[in-house]
Amino acid sequence: MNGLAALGRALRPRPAPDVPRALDLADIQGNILRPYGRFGFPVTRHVFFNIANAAGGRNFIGLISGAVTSAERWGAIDDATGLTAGRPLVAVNVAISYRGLAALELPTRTLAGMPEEFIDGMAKRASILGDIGPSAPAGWDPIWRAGLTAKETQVHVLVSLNARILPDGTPVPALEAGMAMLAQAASASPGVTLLTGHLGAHPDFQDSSAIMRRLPDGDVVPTAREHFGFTDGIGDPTFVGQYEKAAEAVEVIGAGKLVQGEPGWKPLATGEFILGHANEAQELPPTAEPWSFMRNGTFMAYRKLHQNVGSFDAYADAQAEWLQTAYGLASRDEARETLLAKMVGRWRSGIPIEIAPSHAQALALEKTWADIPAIEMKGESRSALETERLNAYNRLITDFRYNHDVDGARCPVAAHIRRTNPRDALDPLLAENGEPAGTALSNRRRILRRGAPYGDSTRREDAGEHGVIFMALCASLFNQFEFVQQQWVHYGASFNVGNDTDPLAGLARPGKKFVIAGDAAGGAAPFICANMPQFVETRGGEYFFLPSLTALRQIAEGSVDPT
Amino acid sequence: MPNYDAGHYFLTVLAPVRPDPFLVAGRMQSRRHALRDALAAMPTGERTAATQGAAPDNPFARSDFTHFARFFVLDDVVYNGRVPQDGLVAAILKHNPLTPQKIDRLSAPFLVFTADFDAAGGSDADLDCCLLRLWETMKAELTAIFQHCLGFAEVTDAAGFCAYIRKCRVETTMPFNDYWSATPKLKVFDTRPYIYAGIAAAALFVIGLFIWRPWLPVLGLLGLGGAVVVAYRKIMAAGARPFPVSAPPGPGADLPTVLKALEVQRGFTAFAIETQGKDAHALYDAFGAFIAATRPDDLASATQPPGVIGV
Repeated sequence: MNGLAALGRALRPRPAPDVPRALDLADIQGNILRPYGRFGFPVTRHVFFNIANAAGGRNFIGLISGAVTSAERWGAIDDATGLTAGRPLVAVNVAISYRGLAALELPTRTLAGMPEEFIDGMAKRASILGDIGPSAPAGWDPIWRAGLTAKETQVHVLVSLNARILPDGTPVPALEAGMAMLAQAASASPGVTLLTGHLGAHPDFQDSSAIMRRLPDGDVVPTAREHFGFTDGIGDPTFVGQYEKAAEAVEVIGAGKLVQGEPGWKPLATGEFILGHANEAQELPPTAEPWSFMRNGTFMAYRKLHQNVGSFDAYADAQAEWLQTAYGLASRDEARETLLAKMVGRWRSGIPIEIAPSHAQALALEKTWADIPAIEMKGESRSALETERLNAYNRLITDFRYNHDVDGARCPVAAHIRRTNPRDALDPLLAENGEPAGTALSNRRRILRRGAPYGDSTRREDAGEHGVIFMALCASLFNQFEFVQQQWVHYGASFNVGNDTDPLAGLARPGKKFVIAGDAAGGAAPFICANMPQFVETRGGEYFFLPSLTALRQIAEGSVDPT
Repeated sequence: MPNYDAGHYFLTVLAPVRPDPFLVAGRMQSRRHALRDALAAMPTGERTAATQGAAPDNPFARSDFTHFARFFVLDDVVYNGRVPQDGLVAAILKHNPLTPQKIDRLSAPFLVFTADFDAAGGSDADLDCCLLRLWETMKAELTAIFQHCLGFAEVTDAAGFCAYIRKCRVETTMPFNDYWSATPKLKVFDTRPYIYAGIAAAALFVIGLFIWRPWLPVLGLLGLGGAVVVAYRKIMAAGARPFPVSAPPGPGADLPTVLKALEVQRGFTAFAIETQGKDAHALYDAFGAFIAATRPDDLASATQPPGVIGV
């Protein structure tokens, strides 16, 4: 028998060595790999088009695809000019809705092979997404409402222009040149019209921009804050091929996956975020035919989320008063900051509550790292030492897990970041002492978040235009974006919190509450935030396909061929 | 165990649908059509927060012992196509791949009725108790549905209904008791005696072959078979033993207790919110008032009615 087994082994073909294959970055749109805000493009304009004529639409795609920014690596900084080689002044990206692909007259087999949620479009998925009540499509911005009933105003193509800024905080002139290019391409393409109806100062496009801060020297620099005052955009996932090896080792910490019983963070499978590559289930994500059309593309949920800053401030003030009494805290400010940190899972500076459970600890850490905001604002002119320090800080705020906080005494189990990215919190082994838990149950539910705030919230009231343009990029909107939104933001079952929705982003039915767990060891009683109002409301959005550069060419040529 | 576990009777009924058409308003209708029509007309009660207060009465909510009930029509089994065969094997055995294979079908469409009742035990008499109460509270609905099933025309009274259901009952091989939030402490089945017995029997077999005493291998084989049979019967017997009604961590899972628990839980949440931050005296008084109003031990009043969602 042993001889036979040995013979079998000898005859069996050896597994091929694991050949690392780099992503074809020049074929992948740049916004998939890069959150532009963090890469020095704080101002974005989203421009939407309708295609009434397929030939005109193909012509339009052809005209603008030459300007599309790919995910190619940028070079080193040129000391003379201070510019990074290969980095544009304005990054351009194109996305097409299902109705847009139909308007471009793609073959029926290609259209029919698309995922059903993408075919449905965002408005039809309202009950899954919690877009009901104040978030219902009937209350969306005119541009989003108009397309629901009339074909000639359907949103078909989204072009995003992401611009760098001048020292005074205004976007570079190339942004206006980009707008002119779009207008020209549209006028040269019969049947292609720019859609209007965005609320706010610019009905022709959706403006969004990092919230800016003026420095003592008069320069204006972008911050990472959103309108509620939190630091945003920290916990984004990292996947294989996204970064070069050296950068990956830094970026993967706290952003990749944890494997049960193995040390360290590993990048997630590429196929969770880019079609045509194996995913975390060791499968190719299902796609429409032909594969050459879908490969290196991905899907994107675009959402305009209004923030009720007045309600938020008033609620935080009122609850802080209660919390101060209940917990016997020294000041109202401490109570308010603690309350907000418990709701989100991070202090407003971005420091996780898992790392700094008390306000005093958070303040101490903020003091230790007081130089970080200035380093962040320096952008590409950071020194090597400063980059190293920034990396160390980023590691501090992302490298944590929930295995020492099973009951949520530090970070409540229903806090925003623990719900939307539970890390190891859902592992059945989490509660088993000493067993290192993994992230297997959340690896397939990750989304790449893109976007920036819009509007001005200096007047702290609900009415007005202020919120966040939120984009979720993933290989499956159903398995990733919609799952997180429905099961984790709106249902409480995964976290044993009954009907409680996400304290920040969840729908608020009458009596909405959020429980801040007490500390059994410290004897602190739980605190219940009751009767929470709606803090975030949907004002529009759609599901888009982000084609590869190859796919854009196929569309322009009319050569998408599934046979 | 399968039909009865931890105080719950898990009923599975497959009633064949009548083959003859149904005459309604002078028009012939397919029985499956008529049956589905009757099922669709049955009120489902509240299912989501959206139907709260607006849903018509579910007939199962007229009594308080049904945790779960579901009707559906099973048209047929799904045909999975030909049984695949290796081409080489087919050639050697001279199987002609063009010869049609038998296509599996059910003899009739079936009405499937599954339910989870509070019951005193797993005997037929215990089941009859449940069925009698159903007949008392929702005879009209049951007749409207089961009239489309074969043999139900002869059912005229409660006893007939019990007999009919028992006749159509199949064993529930995998009951689902959803009130056990923690894994009960289970006795681990000790496999060692059977493994040792198996090894001994195998050794007898081998030794017998070596020293060629023909009765030894036979004895070994018999022993091996015996060990397998005994182990199998032990495991099946252990599986057939129901969990006790309230063994630790016994959930106390009869419907009146569950409904009361939901009401108390909801009331306690409101109480906790109202009293947070209050001093010990105020809390003590408030808790006394809460207990007096909620009456946790009283299952009959201050409780949630069946068939509604409390939210």
